[in-house]
Amino acid sequence: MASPKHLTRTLFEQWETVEALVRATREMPAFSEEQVLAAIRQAQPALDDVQVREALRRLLASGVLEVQSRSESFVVNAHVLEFVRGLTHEHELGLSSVIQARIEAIRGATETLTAGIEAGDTGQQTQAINRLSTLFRDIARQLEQDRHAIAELAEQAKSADTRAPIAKRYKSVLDAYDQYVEPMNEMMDSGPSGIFYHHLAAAEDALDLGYNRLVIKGALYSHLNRLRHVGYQAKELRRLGRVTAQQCADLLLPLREEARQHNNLSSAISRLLGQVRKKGLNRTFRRRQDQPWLPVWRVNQSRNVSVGDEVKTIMAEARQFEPDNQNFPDEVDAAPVTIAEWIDEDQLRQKLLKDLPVSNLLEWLKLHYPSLPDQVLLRLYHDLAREDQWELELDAQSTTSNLSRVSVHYWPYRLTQPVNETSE
Amino acid sequence: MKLVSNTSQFQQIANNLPNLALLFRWFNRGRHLNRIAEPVLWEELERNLDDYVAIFTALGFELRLDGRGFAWFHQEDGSSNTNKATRQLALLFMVIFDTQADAGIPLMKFEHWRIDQAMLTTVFEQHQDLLEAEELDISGLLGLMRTAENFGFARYDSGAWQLLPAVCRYLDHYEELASQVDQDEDVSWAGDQDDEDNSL
Repeated sequence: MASPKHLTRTLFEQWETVEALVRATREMPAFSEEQVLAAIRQAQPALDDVQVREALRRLLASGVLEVQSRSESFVVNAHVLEFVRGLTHEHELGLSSVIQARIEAIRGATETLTAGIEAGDTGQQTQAINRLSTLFRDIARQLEQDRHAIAELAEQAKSADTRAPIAKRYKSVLDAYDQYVEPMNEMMDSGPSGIFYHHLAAAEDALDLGYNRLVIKGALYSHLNRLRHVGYQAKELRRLGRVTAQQCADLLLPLREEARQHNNLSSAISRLLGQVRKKGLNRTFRRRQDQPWLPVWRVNQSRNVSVGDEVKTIMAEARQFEPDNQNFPDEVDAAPVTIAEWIDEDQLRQKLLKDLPVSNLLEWLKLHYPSLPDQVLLRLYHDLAREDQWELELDAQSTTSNLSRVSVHYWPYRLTQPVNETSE
Repeated sequence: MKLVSNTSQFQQIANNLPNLALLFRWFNRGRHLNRIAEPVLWEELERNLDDYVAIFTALGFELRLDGRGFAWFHQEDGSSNTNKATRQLALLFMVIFDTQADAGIPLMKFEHWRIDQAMLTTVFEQHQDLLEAEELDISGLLGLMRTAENFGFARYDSGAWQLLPAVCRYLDHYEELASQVDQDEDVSWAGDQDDEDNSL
């Protein structure tokens, strides 16, 4: 068994070669030594013969390539094959019956989950949840792979030689339609025959029900969380299934109906679009030396010319320019704050407590703090009148006081020592 | 071909070409001039083609004229911005043409297509995977159509775009580029059965 680290490292170093080998696996399952060496040479033209042999040795030593039993030919490691195909979107179309079998398995897991919830058996529930989660993930992955495989089939048919007879060109498409898309559509059907829809809906219901039961009964947070996440997976999968079936049908239908325009141009465009799908735009249209490329055109780069500071200095010297001295204005203080408005209110209260009883609060304030502006004085008056450090008494007689700018007509407050405080 | 040798001669020629400045600005911005979109300018260009070519050549620009009715300032290597724009435009035209081919519409009559938001939505839906991988959504496609308009590959008229003959520059390249892909993916070495016997 190859060491995983060693294997991935070699995969990284020899990616181009492995990619080419994996692509060739469609046509032939095993390679001779000469073929592998040719593949390495094509992928890395810069290597000399010794380095090419070294590359082959490394591919073998790391386990990327394996010697086929009972023969001397090489095969690509099955894990690597699966992995590289997944990354390069080079999948073969799966069987709709595999998806069907997995969906059937959902039913079993759902039953286990329901039984586990009924019996209150957490172990059984966890087992069923994990099983559902794995199934959902596998189905989602296969749907994704199949979608790319269908796109590949469509691209191949679209980019096939224009001289090939239509029946031959579209054979794989028609097969895919009958063997994959039709059964998939049946599965996705929301009617009685659509097992995909029904089983997933049942699994969702069981998960929701289980969640609600456990919330009421009380369960570990992590357990509830797991249940909820698998529920999300189920909902997402139902959406993905519908979208995939729809997209596959959309892709193949124009071909099946033979409605598509097929000529050199459309076939070239399909070929290129397939490359963009697998490799991305920039890798598809990589610029290479001496090879025709996409059209370009001349765009003038607008250039701004401005005089540098050095030139300004020279000109200033030539014209004997003397700069005017500009004095910065002196710092101006921010708007002055009247200190008179500031007052130590704690001190004021203590003073007031000492002076109790006070017959007229406002007059007292006026007497002791004559410099305070009227609004501050009145604010203090209202604040103090609301406090319960002293006993308040409203005079029966109204009176008028002249403050600095206004005069106030009011019933004065009389302040006395509170009873409970004197007792302390 | 007359070569501009001195200023007075240049003046004389330039006086006969009232649209010289306009045409120069047009091409210098990277725009393609299409006969059907700008018949007046095109007529002027074609009538005094030798003079225009001479002046532009003297200024260091290569004017190319295609018989299908478009012209542009040619350059072998694009700037990095042009390279990015041309890749994206290549993709835009490919998805549009592919969508139309699926609908069974003859591709060479692309000048008659009406490319509006509804059509771009169909284009997007049919190539969603691929366009999303390139970070393009419908508004991205609309933005690319505006880029195409800026460079003279399309014109906007009453709520929809119309592709212009300059798009042929791309169509000419697609087949060649596709054959390059075939070369890259060539696995003919794998078909070589004869060597198998003397392996190892």
